Amino acid sequence: MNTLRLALGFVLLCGACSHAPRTRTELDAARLAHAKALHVKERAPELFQKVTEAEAAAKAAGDDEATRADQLAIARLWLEAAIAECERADSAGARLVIEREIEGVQAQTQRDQASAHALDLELERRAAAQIAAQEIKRALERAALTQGQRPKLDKATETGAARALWTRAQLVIEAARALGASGQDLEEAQKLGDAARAALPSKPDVALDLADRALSRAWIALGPVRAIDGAVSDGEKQALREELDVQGAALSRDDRGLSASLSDMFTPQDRLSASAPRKLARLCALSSAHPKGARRFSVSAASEAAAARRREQLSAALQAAGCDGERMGIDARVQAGSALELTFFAY
Amino acid sequence: MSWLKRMVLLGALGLAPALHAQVDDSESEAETEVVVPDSAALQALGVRLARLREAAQQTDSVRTAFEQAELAIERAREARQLGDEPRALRAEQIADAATTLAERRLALAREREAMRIARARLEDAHRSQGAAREALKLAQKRAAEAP
Repeated sequence: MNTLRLALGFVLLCGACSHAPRTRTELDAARLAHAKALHVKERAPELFQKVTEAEAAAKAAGDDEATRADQLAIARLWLEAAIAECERADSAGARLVIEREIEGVQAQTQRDQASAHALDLELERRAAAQIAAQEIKRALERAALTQGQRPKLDKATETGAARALWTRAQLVIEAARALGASGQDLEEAQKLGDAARAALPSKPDVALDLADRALSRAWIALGPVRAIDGAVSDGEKQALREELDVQGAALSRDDRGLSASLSDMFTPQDRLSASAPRKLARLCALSSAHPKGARRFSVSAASEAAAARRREQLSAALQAAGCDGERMGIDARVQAGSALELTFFAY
Repeated sequence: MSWLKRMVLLGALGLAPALHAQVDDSESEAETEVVVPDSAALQALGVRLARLREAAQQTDSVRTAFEQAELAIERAREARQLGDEPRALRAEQIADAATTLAERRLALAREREAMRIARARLEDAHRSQGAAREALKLAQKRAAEAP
């Protein structure tokens, strides 16, 4: 190691002490080319000016080798500084592009996350609505029967059904109020709702009946508000579909309009079933709540005579429920089955 | 700075004349003990170099320029001590240029580090975006399949 050190020192010292030309006479061509490619002269003019000055000083030094070597060293250092400055500026420019791309990607990520979150919320809402609809369906089915006809349930289940129906009625009352509804029907709906709530803890079956009636009255209260606007809105169509759906009706749409088909409305003897009167009363209330356009009932039976009997039964029940008969015609068809169909032509 | 390193640096810088002078002058050093104070320019360079000292330990390109500047300052002091003002001024110029080079290389090194971080962030952002896109697709699929 010492030998190597001595040898290297000797070589350097010889170079340093020699009077022969030993310094580079000009700047490195490759570095100059690199500087030119970077447009150093234009982009780092102050630094490049110093390179030029040092080069000029080196030339002016003539035979003064020490001065010439120093000035060339100075020129090289300034040139490297100018190159570093341009490379830094290039890198900063490229980084700015990347930073902008990051912003764009992050913004897109946020949009995607927000969309996914909104979809998840919508799915949760739909699932909750389905559960609520199932609950309401069961509650309405139970409420359609008289208390004596209802299957025996434990108190918690009975209370749950009554509470579901009361909640639904209360929501419709609030919606009617928000839409500007007022008058006797709304007041009556609120009174029935209050009574239902009061009966909930001790008499759930009574509460169920009261909530069912409160719901029907709230629907009726909505009618005048909806009648103000001429055209049927998509929201109204959707609301009617939902409300008919929870009645347990099978829905279909054709060129006539929206049809709701309710099964088990008649006995084989062509009499109304036990739950039919209450269900018809609800259909009447729903019909009042969606007052636009005409609507028509259709009953079917295996024979003409049976169909006529069913129409008679239906007409009487509608009258008893206080239904507006003017816009509600009843068709009787000869067709097997006990279904009853109500078509809303404007929906 | 070691003797060998100093020799190599002097050679690399083309500062052999300085070494030559130093070797000659070293014999008379013992006779002249009067210390000439640093010029204002040298003091200012000292301040600039002090700011670079820590960074110079961590970055090779900065360290090279930093050491060149230190060496040139030393040479300027020696020349001034000997009363060789032109050589002292040239050494100061070398020190100034080397210090500037160290500063610019430090700025470049920092910029490259920022670039490296930016690229990593971009990769990360693309990964997150890919995950978000997948999550959205799944949510859309669930929504389409939901009753």
